[in-house]
Amino acid sequence: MSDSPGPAAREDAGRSLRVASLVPGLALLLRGHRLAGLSLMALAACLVAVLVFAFDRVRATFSAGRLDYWVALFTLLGGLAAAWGLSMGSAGRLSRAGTASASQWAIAWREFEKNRLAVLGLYLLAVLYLATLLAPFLTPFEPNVFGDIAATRHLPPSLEHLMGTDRFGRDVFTRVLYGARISLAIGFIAVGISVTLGTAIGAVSGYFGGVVDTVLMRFVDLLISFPRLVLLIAIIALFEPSITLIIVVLGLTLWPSTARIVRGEVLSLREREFVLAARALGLGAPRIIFRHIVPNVLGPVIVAASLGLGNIILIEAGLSFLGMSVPPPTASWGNIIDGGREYLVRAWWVATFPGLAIVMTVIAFNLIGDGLRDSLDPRLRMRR
Amino acid sequence: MGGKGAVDVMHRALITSLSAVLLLSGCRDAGDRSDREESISESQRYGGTAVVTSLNEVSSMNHFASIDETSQELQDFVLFMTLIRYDKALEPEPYLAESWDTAGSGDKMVLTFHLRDDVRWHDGEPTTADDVKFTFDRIKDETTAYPRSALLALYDSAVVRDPYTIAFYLERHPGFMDPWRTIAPMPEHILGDVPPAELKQHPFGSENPVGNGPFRFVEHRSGDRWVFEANRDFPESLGGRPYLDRLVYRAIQEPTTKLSELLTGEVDVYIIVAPAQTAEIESHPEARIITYPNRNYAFINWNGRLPFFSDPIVRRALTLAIDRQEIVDVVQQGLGSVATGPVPPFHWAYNEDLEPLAYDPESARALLEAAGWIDRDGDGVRERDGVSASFELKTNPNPAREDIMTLVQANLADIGVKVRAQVQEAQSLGRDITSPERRFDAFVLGWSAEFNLDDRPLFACSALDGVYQWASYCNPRVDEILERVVLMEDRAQALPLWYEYQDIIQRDQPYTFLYYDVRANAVSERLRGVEMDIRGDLVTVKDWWIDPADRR
Amino acid sequence: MTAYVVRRLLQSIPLLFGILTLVFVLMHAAPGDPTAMYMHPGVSPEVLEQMRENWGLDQPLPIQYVRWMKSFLSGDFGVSLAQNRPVASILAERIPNTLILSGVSLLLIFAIGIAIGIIQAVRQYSLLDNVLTFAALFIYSMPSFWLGLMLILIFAFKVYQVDWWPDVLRFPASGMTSVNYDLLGFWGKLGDRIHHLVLPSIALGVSSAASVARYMRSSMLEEIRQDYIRTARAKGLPESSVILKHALKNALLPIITLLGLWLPFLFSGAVLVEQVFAWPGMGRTIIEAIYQRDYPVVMATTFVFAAMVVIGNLIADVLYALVDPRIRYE
Repeated sequence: MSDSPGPAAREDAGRSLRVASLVPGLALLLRGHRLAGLSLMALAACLVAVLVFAFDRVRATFSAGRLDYWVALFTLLGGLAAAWGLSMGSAGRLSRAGTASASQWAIAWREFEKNRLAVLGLYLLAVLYLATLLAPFLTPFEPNVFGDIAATRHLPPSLEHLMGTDRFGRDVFTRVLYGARISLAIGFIAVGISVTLGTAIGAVSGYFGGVVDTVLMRFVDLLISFPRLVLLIAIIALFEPSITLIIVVLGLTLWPSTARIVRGEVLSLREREFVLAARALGLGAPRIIFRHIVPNVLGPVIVAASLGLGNIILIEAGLSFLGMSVPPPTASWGNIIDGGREYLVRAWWVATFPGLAIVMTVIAFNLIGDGLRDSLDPRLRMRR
Repeated sequence: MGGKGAVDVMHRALITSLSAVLLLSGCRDAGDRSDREESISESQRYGGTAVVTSLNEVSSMNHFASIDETSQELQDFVLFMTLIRYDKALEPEPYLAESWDTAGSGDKMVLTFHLRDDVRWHDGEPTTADDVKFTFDRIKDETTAYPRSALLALYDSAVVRDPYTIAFYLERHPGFMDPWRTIAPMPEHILGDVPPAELKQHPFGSENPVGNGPFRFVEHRSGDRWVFEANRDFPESLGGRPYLDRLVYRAIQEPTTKLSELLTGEVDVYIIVAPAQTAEIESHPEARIITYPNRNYAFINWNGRLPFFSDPIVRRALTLAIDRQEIVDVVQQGLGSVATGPVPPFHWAYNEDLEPLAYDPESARALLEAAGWIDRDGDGVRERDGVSASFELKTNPNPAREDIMTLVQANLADIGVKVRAQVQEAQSLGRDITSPERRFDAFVLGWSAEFNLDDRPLFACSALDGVYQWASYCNPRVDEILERVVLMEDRAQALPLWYEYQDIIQRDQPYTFLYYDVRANAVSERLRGVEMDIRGDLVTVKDWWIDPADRR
Repeated sequence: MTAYVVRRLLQSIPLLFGILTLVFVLMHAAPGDPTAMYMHPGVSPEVLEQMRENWGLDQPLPIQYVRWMKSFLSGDFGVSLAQNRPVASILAERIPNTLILSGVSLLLIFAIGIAIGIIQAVRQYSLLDNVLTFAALFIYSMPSFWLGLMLILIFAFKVYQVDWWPDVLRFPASGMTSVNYDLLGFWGKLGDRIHHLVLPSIALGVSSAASVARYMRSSMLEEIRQDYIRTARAKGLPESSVILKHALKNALLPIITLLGLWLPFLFSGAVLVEQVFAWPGMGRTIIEAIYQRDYPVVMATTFVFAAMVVIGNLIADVLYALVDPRIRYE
């Protein structure tokens, strides 16, 4: 504490920080938060670059009359605004360092921030999401449109076609960008369904115990001891494949593992004082479960969800491999790979790049999941 | 005349491009190989193992059970003997039957086969007329549920004259010999006591089949391989034992895996090469590609019960708007030719002078306008009487057909017709299209045409409620023609009718015929004596041989 | 202990029964039936009708169910409608193949996974931890069929064009044995089998190994922080013995329970990997059977899958009891 600055110097530093924060990330950088500062800076730089280099396409938003252009435009402007906002905000926070109150979530976030890999995962995901939202500005091509096939098919990766072209001469980079929307949407919605269902069933099962528990858990056992892919194929064969069907089926078949985790947690929470107290107050079971118990099991559920996301993207790819996923010409990562299978020897890029996209995304989700696990579970926190 | 010329050119172009492929592969080290081939004497050719791979699992060696191409080829050419074979001109030649004669008058006839007396089942029993009669009787017995019982629909009964002579009583019809090319007689002394309803699932077919052909059964490991070895007792007058010691069949699904196995020498024959891989295989000296036009064609079936598709003009416009040559080039890598109708080029009645409709989106638009399909609300999709020109195009999971859908979708969007592509699992698609309600708009599928063509189930009015009349197409003249040609033995007399049939189908477009398939198989260079044609991939398997220096 | 095992087995009977019923209903609710294999204009609808009758598919569903259950309980799995072969003999050939593949993969998974997990835990947040985490994740995040294709492309195909590449490291792309397998000596046969196992077991197992490593890491981290470890260190035991003797044993407990959870996962993966490598196992059988609506095969294979999972879980629990003296079974 010997070199702690006096009030005046502190005021001064605060002002210069605020000036520096006009350039996103600079303030953070100046205060020694290298990683955070640089990445905020890079983010803002990328957005500005898109705005500058793809200005024609950005302007086309007003004439194209297409929803994804508007989404991209709002992402772009919103991203820039957020970058500055964050920069200002963090400057403010930095100048008041140490005064923030430490809620449970804030502690977890601080813990999470320490895990560099987890933060990296978060960045990967942010970049990926920005890229898919900004897709119309990032690529001059359309994902499903093709021209002279003979002249454009199977071009190797080049500056014009970053990931080459496929058998119809469609730009693989574009398809990977647009395919990300489908793959990520499938992942998020399906996980949403399965987590909600799993939490509800697990909590009910654990809280009530007895016959309810036995019946529900036998059902969970049944679904878990069944090879998942087989179940999926059997169900999909029943209906016409569509994106909605894939999402619903994945969501409805993946909840048992969440239910098991939640039930385990609830079993131990059930006898804790605050639950006993709530019960003594005469609160109803739904209220106790959803107001008092569920918030306390959210940690493991969030972890399970982030890991499940990666898993679902892999499963979707597997289904595409069997020809049972999203129908053409809509691109999903799985069916881009599937379309490149026969051409693997001659045109390796078609199946390779979407494969790498899957790998990177699943990595991101898993890094985040790991980070969350470490930070949400007090037992795993770093000792220092 | 001009039209004819154009067709000829197209055909010649196809043929030359194919023979160029063959020449290239043959030429690479042709001198080398043929020199060696000369120097290897007949007696040195015996020995070695050849491995054949294809997509499909073999369902059974039991002729009563199987219908898939691979099983049938293994039965007809490898393990069993059919009564007759086809020569290259598709004329019958003796095989198990040494000779045959016909008698009778009017529309009844008697067909008598004189069998060889030196053919034995691999367990030592002689193959006799009783085996043929047993097989015939089981096929005619409804409880057997022999899949292709239609082959013998006009056959009435069989009488064994002596152990090696059998006579069939039948109605006179063209192609009456054709069934005996594919029906392989089964051993009565093994299967005679099996109740007909249980014949299909009898373990004979998959665990211990006993044949009488050039190869005998060694083992079958489920999902892994079928192994056959040379039958040393095969009649000398039919060329004696095959050159190969062993023949192995393996099913491998993944194209890249098959390619890798072929080029690294684990597999000698790769049947049905993915079109995308032919160029790669050509570039390797270890293997060559053999191509031949086969019996398959691809088509789009329009549901004629829907208002949009019920109009022949609309169907014609749709065909005109689809760039079928591009489909052949992109999807088949040139392995195919644009189709005109349901009679493929291999068939004797194929009309070479009939020119396929050319790709012409302009005329297509004009036809649609004329038929009243106009885009009035400017959304890019035509409509008439409140019905919009948009439909769902389906297919089963199959890379080529999915690609066809993608191209068709783009083509039709150009003329203001909106297509939703849908891939549906094969069985559930099958249920939808065969259901009496015809629950579909349109779909892409393929047929394999028979040597003895009978299109009544596809296009006859009488079959409208049948399982295969997917187009719901009815034209009395077509009915008349189809009914008559299946009974006309004289080809010269039938030919005009066949031509007229092709003309009408071309005009009415119940299907949009996409292309006639050209089969590409890859063969390892060490395997010699391989010829493949419309008769089958394994048709010369008995004459395949391997250079002693190259044997594994 | 025996009583416990027997009780668990008895408990699993309703579970298996439930699974079989579920599959029966699912399969028969799915559109189409086995006669669709014969769909061809040359095959008349009457023939298809006769086939249905021969196979008993014309009966009402409840009757089919009771019939099937009856013969199933008497040990008769029926005859495959697509492969035309007794289901029992198909299973007898294919189960061992799948067990070999998933067994080898399981060994790979646990050996590699546990080793990496320990290293990571001991060096938490070090560069090594981060690198290993990332490497493990990279592999974990690959779709197994994609990994399989890439392995074939590189180690079965491309390496044949590289002269200096050692023969031992050129792997076959498909199947369990070479064509000339029967002509090899004992060691040749063994080598041939191992050679064929390498690529598929890597494709199937490696991704799960990465996952085991992650569980191992957190479980190990938890143990290292326990008081008894501190005591052991305070006693002056060498670090390696503290980790390997004391912490490892306890950290393995939760991993062993994973064994049971891993089996269904492996079998699912096997479906894709077996197809890529043309491995004649159960995974391919079941997929083909579902496509062809080969009811007897689907029922029998699901039963076998489920039974293997149940047994796997049981083994895991028994192991758990053997390792952890605190757990007693009454």
